[in-house]
Amino acid sequence: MAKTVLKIEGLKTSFNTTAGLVRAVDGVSFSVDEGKVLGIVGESGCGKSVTSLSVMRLVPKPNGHITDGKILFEGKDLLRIKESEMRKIRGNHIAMIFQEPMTALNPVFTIGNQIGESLALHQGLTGKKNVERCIELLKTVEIPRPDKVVDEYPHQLSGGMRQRVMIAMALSCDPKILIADEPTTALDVTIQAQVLELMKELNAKLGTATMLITHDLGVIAEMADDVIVMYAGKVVEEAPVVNIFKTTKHPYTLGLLKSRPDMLDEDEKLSCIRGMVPSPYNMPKGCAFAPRCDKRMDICDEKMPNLIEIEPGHKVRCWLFEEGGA
Amino acid sequence: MRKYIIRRLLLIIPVLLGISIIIFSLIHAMPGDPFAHLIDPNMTPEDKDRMLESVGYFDPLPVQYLRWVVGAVQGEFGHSIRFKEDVLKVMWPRIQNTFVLSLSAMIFSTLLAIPLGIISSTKQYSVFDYVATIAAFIGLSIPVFFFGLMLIKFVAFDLGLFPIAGMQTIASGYTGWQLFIDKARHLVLPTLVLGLASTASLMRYTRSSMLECVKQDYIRTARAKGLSERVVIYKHALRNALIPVITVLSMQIPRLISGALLTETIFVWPGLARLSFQAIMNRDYPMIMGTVTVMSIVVMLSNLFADLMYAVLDPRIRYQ
Repeated sequence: MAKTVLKIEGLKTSFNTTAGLVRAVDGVSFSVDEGKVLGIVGESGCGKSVTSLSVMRLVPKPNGHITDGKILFEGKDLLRIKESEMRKIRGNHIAMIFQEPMTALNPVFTIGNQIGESLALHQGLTGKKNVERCIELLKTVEIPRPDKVVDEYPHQLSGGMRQRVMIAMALSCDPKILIADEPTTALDVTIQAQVLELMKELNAKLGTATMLITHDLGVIAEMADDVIVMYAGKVVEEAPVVNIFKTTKHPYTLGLLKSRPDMLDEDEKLSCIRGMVPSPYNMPKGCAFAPRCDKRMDICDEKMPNLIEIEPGHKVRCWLFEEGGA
Repeated sequence: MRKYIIRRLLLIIPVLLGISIIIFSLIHAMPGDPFAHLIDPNMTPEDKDRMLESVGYFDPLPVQYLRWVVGAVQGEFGHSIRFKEDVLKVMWPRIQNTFVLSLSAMIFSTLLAIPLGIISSTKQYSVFDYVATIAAFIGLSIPVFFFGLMLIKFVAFDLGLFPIAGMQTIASGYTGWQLFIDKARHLVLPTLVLGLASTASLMRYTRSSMLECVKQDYIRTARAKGLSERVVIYKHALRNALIPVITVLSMQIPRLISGALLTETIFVWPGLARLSFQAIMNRDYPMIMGTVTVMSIVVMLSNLFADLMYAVLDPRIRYQ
């Protein structure tokens, strides 16, 4: 079995807002193995991005707090180490790619400067060696004329190119974990495919454990080995990618799959999950998905089900599958 | 880049022409004449008319204007009616004095305001931030003459730390370093007074600009690289935050020069703003035109300075 690089146990992250406390991530546990891609799916606001920012310990301050849980990176709890130690891990062992390539690069520094910064910081590469390594990295992410691009500014590159630069930046120090937070959402479909292809190749070549956050099930099918589905800050289903698509258990995952246009016969209407994500200020007492669920039972309004393993490697949080339910 | 600068410098000429026409028409629309308050009770109206005629007062305005422009192009700004001397000759020492005062006020306010603004933004809602905010509001709302008089009363008179007024100790016989220190001591209070308002507003601008920048995605990227907070703030955020601050700074340069009137008056500082004020009160037309021309050039140069600074700070402007 592959080595587990990252293990998250009972992570809770919440935000203080003027309207009250929001539990963005509420007791999430999962692990990522070496060389594997873990897909995290869910609607906007389900806590995917906050989970990834929590791993980096970059939850926006001063309102966001990680209140509980463990984030074990190679056995070390990242929530218990000093900020200065965390800085040595960030960008070095755990790197991140963000959603918006247009704004994620600093407009006033050259590409070379921005990639070289991590190299200088974590690997002590300076001067000519630094520039050479930058060009090499740009080559790895298949940027044309890398020796020119290294001296260019972000505004001179297209969105797809910028996202490649972000990937190069993230890979610069050979991280053990790569967190990609909706890496293709802001790109055109054709560019999306190219970037995904590149990420897949690099994952295969470098064996970096990857956390891929997306709301696009197509991307998941393409990229992931294992999938967790999140809803309202909790994991509702966790399974290998085949099981998610073939033996779907949770009504929410089912709803997501059904609302994909490619599942359509020609005349069939596109189905959708009715209702809205519950307000974080006013979470239902029982299962958070109950108000929107087609298979709702009485107990669903009363108590939140537990995440239980129903088949090896396939976990689900639903009363349909838990004893004490129907 | 060099082409751009040359083009911008050439552009100053037509703008100056336009300004001079407007100012020339406006000052001649003012009632009164250069000798209105020099009138000797024994002087006949005919005498006065003769004096006015001698300075070309009765010529048609276009003729008067052309005469001025032709002279100005040749570097000849005419004779001051009041000082009975060449306008440039009268202005030159005043320009230097004002330059010294404005420059030191600008350096003082920039060096104080930008670091304070940065600290204020990184420690938003801290005690430091509140103190700085309150101080900035006091600085903005306190009248210049009042603040100046307070400093003179408490710092200069009661404590005797700095001289009360003037540019140097009269008849001190200082030379070399002693003279420099003496002049610097005279400069301190006027600098404080003149720089006060700009420090306050510049600090507020820096703070809000920084707060805007640290929210940006590229700051998160910088943090995700593992950079220390110092590098994140002073490299990634500051460079971006300074772009709007430059605008404010460049708008303050003309204000520091023409707006120095109260400061120059309170501290008996023989500067350009006071000269310009006196010229207007005396209807000393050549002198008014001279001071206005100098100030217009300063405004345009500071705009050019701002545009060049943008290009230095922001590559998106450079490459367009």
